[in-house]
Amino acid sequence: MQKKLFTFFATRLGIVTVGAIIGVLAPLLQKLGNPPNMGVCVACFQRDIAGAIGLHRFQLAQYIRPEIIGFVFGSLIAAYSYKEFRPRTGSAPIVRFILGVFAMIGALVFLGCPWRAFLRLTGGDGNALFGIAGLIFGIWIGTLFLRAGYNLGRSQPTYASVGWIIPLIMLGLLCLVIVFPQTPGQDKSGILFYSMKGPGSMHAPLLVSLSFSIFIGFLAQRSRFCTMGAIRDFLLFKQTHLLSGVLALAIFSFITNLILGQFNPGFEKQPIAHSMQLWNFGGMVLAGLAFTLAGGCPGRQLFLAGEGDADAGVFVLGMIVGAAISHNFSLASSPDGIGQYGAHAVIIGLMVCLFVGFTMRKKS
Amino acid sequence: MPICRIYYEKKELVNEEVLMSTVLDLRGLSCPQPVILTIEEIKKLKQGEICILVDTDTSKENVSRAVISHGWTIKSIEPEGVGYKIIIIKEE
Repeated sequence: MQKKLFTFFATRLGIVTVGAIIGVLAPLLQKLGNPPNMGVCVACFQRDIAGAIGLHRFQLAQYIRPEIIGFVFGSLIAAYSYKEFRPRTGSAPIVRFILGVFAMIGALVFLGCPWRAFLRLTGGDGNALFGIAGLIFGIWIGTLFLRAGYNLGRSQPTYASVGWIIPLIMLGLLCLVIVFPQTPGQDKSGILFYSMKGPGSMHAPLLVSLSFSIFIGFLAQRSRFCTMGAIRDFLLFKQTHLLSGVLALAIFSFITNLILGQFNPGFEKQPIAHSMQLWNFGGMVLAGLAFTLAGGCPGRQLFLAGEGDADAGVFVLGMIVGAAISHNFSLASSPDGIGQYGAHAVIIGLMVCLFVGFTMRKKS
Repeated sequence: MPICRIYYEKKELVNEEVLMSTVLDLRGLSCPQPVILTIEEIKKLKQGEICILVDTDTSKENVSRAVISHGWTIKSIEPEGVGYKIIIIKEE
């Protein structure tokens, strides 16, 4: 029975294979043009999208990242191929929006989502250790709420078109890039903003990014790959299924970085990173807690949105708006350190998450 | 009573064969609620038969993995509405 129960991707070998593939493709995307230690970063790339459409005007982070589009498309294709597209919504969407906002604010204080935390570490950035520690601590706080009955309520089946909203938004973004492609030497093309320097100006060729990310999105939907879930399941159930996928990502990313000459160990002057360790830790405590309360890491939320979960789609929109708030209000960090109000925002964000965690509980 | 616990009176959800078993309706709950509530129920009952309703393949896989790791057996998995009906058992 057990063999028939689980498809290949639901087995340990399946999740390890997916983690390993992401671990190879992410540093490869960096080699092909993506920013250093940022082959894939869901938070950073959503922040770039927010900049490209002018929600914030931070000039170093403006680019419609095809990876975000591809993740949703890949998941959508997988969901339809395996009859898993299930349009659903109604599980406290406004709370998920706010959690998305603060998850992004926390991630941009650290400068990376959980995927990038591991990519930074395996590229030699020791500061990432503090971010990962914060992530684990934030998820641990989240598990306390889960044990105490925290629950955002049930989602309900809905119209297929509701599940299509996020994929259609992604299609719209892709159309914008095609209609208004980057013009060399120009920081604006039609209605889109483009970075002339900094991480937003560094990117792999569009079709490479798009095809790699569709492939990753497909595999991640099949395997339910989730970095937050990996740590959460280990803390809650001592279950190592998802964790083995994340460890595979880290190991294969480390090896690929070594082969490509992208491993530069140290703490100082690491690319798109700072060394204010308290806030590397604190930012990711906030992000980890918000991910746990929302039920998935930023990547997983994109994959869920691709398979019809409109509540996950609301979280995604919350993250994009959170990126705009981060830069407009000087919350986001830079290589010089945290933003003027970054620390304040982390504390407020933690209070909001605790409010959500304490007040949204149902227990027998 | 857990919010997801329903009984056989709700016949539109459960057919004849599971009339006498506990029903856990986990549909619409996001990760990791289905697993948490399944484990709670398993620990409470210790043995017997439970009918679990889930609405996604992810929940089906996660619940199945948890059930097996707690020494219960999956008797059957059948499509039910937009999701699945999983019958699990543990005998003395």
